[in-house]
Amino acid sequence: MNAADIRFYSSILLRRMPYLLAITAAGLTIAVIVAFVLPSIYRASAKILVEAPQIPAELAKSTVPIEAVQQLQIIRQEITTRDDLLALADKLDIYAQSEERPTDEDIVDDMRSRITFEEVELGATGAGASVVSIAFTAPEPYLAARVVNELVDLILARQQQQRTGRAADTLQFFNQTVARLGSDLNQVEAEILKFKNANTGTLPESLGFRRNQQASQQERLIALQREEADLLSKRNNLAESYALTGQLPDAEAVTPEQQMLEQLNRALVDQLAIFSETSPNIVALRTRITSLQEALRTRQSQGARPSTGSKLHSAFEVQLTYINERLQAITQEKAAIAESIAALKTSIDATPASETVLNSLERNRANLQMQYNTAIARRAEALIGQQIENRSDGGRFSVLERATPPEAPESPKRRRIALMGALGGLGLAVAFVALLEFLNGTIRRPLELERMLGHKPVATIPYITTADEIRFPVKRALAVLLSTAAIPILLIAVYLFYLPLSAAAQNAYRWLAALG
Amino acid sequence: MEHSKASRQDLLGSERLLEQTILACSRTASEMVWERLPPLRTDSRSLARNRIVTTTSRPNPAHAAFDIIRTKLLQGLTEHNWTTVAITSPTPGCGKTNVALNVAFSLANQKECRTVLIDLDLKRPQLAKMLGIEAVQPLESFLRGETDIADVFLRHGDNLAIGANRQPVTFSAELLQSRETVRVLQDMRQRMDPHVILFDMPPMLANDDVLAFLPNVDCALLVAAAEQSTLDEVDICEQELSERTNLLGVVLNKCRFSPEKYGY
Repeated sequence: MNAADIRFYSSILLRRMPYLLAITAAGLTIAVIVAFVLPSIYRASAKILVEAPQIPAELAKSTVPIEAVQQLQIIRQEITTRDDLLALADKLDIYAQSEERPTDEDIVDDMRSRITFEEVELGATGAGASVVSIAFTAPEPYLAARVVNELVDLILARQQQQRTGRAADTLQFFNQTVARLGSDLNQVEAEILKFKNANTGTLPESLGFRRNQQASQQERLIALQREEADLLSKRNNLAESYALTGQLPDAEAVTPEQQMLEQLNRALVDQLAIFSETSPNIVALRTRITSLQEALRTRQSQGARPSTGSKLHSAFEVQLTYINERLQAITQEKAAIAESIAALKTSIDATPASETVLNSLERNRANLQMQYNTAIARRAEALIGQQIENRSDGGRFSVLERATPPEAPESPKRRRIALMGALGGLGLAVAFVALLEFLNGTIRRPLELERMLGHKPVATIPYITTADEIRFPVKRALAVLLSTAAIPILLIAVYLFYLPLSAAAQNAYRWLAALG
Repeated sequence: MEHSKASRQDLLGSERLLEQTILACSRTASEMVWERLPPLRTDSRSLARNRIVTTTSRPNPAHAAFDIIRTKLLQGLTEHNWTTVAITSPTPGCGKTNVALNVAFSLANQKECRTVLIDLDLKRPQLAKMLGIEAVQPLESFLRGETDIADVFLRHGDNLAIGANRQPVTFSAELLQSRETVRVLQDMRQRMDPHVILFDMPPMLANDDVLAFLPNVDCALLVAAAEQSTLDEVDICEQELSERTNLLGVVLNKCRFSPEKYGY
């Protein structure tokens, strides 16, 4: 392709300028109309910070150890359920503008397509926290912002509800466990008490006491036996000596006065070892002893004479009776002690069996007690966890930025659409001209004729312009301009007087959006 | 074919010899015929409107092109001793009549050269309209030998006679092939003794007029219009003309693209 060719092609384009202009203008006009007819779509977005627990897990565990992002996914699924979306649409009157209320299915689909969740990458640092942006598109900026804020509130409420709900569930569970274990414990303790009451005699804790008791009883028994033997021999001695002498071996000493005299004499000896002969104590003692000896002397001189024989006989009888009574008492006591020892033996023998039963009961109680203690501790943890959740200190969502009504619509990008329309129109025009030239088999320049004929044409006569035509560039340009302007004007007129064009454009846009 | 053409050349050559022998006596006769022709009144504005550029001296790139055609035509004719040239085109509207007129006026500027231009596009005569000639005898009657040269021809300057026509002829092809026409034309040629006779023919592909008349001409000039005639059309016509007569060449008319811009 040389300079002549370039000039040739550019001259063709120049010749076809009306086409180019008209088609480009049409494209531009359509694009501009479309750009202005398309409804403005505003996009509002809010940012939610999803962060790791604020209270470290080592110090106090939250009862809801779910990853925050995972939780967000769950909540996202939850709030985009059909019922929620319908409720939201009703609440905010999102579809108030449409003439007839769309079907529920359409509303749900539309809402879902308009809500976007995006996780904003925080880079490598975002190990514990991430930012999620929630956006909604609407024909009005305020509506978009309101819907987004509503969604944010919903998410926060849901999250709170979910976490506190879980925490409360946990606490409730432990409460129930504690209650159950407590009642079990009470029951076991009642059983133990009942058993102990029923087996008081054989309880292991009184075993030592009982053994001591047994031993002392046996000692007592031995003592009694010894006393019995003593008494028996004494009775024999008494009987023998009475039979031989008719006198009692130790008659003098038997009267209380004589005994008292002996005691006083003994006390006098003890006192003399300490005190002098003239001390008032010794003097008093000697006085009492002499008065007592006087009394005794008079009683002996009076009593010994009238009843010596009967008096002796009755003293023997008295002594014998006393010994016999004593022996009888000892026998009785021995029988009682033997009986008691037998009872103690039975009780001691029964103690291991009751100990086994008691041990098993105690073990049971200890187990329950341990469980109970554990449950109490867990319940305390759960209580703390719930408080953490209630205070929203666990891994949490916080609103970084609430949605504000956007100032400029997100789409359509009017300038871009217009530019694309113009470019598209130009491209179409060039393609049209190219097609026109391609289909056109006519001779354009001498070169073509020369190629076919094999030699140059005789002559090439340039197009002869008449005087009218010389003036005509202005006219022609005017005509071109008018015709070029006519197309947009026509389109605008169609748009103004035949409004469905806008609906058609909207439909077309929806189609495109649906396809895209 | 070659043979017949050659014999015709011989015939023409012998006629020319004959003519030359009686030249001395007939020259005066032809001059008298030329003088008797009524003059052509042209309206310069009308000519300009009809794109006739060769009558004026206004510098026009087309003027130069027509002069080139004239010169090449004269050279060709002189070289082969030809006189009659048919100017045709593949389809209507290629500017045959315009080329014929312009070349004719250009030839008229060549003073020693007598030129005759006849409008043989009998179905759609354009020549008279272009020149703005109102009253003129129908050419049909001349071709039938019913009227005289002076009744149909008009004279421009001293050396250009134009036979215009305003009345369409229905059976034009038959008329063109009739013996009478051939005889009339032969007679006209003898009496006027022109150096060049230009026949403004109808388009070739539209009807058979050209085919019918081709045997009566020495050579042909094909006018192709840029952005109108296709290569195929030109190819067909070129082959046709080459077979039946001598093709002087192809002229590309209405070319809006001029790669060479020669400035004077």
